[in-house]
Amino acid sequence: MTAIEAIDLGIQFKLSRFKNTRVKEVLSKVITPQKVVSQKQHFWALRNLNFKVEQGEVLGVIGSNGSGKSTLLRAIGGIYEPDEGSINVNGSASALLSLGTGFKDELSGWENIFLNATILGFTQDEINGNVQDIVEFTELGRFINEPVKTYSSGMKARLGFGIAVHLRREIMLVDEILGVGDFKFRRKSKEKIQDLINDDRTVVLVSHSMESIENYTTKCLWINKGQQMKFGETKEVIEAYLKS
Amino acid sequence: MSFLTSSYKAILKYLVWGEVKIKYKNRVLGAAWAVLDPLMLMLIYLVLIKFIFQRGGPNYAVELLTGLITYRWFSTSVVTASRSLLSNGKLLQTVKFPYSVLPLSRVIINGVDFLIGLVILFVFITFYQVSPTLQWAWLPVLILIEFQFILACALIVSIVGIYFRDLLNILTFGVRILLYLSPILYGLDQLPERFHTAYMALSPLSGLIISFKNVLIHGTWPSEYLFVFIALSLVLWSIAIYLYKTRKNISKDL
Repeated sequence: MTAIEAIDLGIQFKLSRFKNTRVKEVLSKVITPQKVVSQKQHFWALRNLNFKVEQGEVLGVIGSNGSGKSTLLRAIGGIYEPDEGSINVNGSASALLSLGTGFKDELSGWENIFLNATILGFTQDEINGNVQDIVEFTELGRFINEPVKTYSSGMKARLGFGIAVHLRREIMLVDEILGVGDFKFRRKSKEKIQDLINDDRTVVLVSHSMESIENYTTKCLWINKGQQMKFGETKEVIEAYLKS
Repeated sequence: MSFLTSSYKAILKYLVWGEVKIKYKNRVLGAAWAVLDPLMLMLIYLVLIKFIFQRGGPNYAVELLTGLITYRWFSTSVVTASRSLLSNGKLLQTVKFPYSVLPLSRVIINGVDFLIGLVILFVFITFYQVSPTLQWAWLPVLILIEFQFILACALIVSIVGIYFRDLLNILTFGVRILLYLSPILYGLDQLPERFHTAYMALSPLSGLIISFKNVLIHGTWPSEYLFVFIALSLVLWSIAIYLYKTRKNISKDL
């Protein structure tokens, strides 16, 4: 079964007309209308993407900074609607894993687990069933009852990671979270990711670490400036990417 | 109908609960502030109008409090809702969820304050020996009418606030002006009759505030201007629904 299929996928961003508009500019346009030129005020963050991921496969996404990797994850997650082509996702709402999303600093770690997981779309039963495991995994100890604002960035990341890997969806979107925490925690989180992969879940993994891409993924997509450079077996794509 | 799904309700529950908790956490007086806030506000105006300017009728404190809590539910909800989507940009770009829950949560959180204010009001009503009437049955209806009106406004400003960032500054002053334009510190009867229509046009909340006062204090029917208020809500709702239907992709604009 195909889990994710992109056909000529294009995501466009408008360079906002209002966001940076100043009264002075508006006035000058009113006073001297001939100055108004219809500029193309948008750019393609992604364009002409074609790829297919089968259920249970792990797709790696690579490319330099700003090439559109996170935009792609958001498109798969349904946060950005395609402006061109289509993206079909078969499976329950995919959780986009980003660390500490929606944490309320004033609330405790425990409270944030519930808040965060609810926003991610999990039911109370699912959360109750997993909350002990999450707390244990994060190794926060008594800090779990302290406000998140007292946490170090590593602790916050652990909490976010713990929530993300314990509450699972059929399709998991993972954005650069493998390098979190100290050595011990990294090893533990790698195990968890491996666990996810063995679990027959479809995983999309965005990473700059060629090592983790090579270790975890079967297929790989290389994008550059929003354009698809290569899609195929991980080994071949990485080879091409490193040569460029 | 995303409003009815259980996940929508669950998100709403946690947003409201989280906010209320944050609001009173680490305060020596804690939740007592929910009572003190409207009380202090009322006292300030009471001293100003009643004792310094020597104005206001016998039930002035009760009338003042009725107007103030009604107005405050509206003003704080709208001002905070105008940033509700913008300030949660990171969240909206990470998870897909029905984002109308954010402005809605602002309306509910401030609605809790309104209800607490209402309890205080009833203490004052007893103290001032305003006798209960059958008209009090209108109260839940008026609360619902106010709720839907504020919600429509909150939905509109939450979207407009993304594209027009000056909105927050404008609203901060706008609600201040609205306070003086509404029959809160004074009553409509203090204005000459011939100005009433013009006044009503300038003062969108007056139909509602007068109705609250009529029903709770004067034991009379809600004001006929309440119809104007409801008509205005319908217009606002069509704008709100239009904005939410056409702005599906706001996550790109945050």
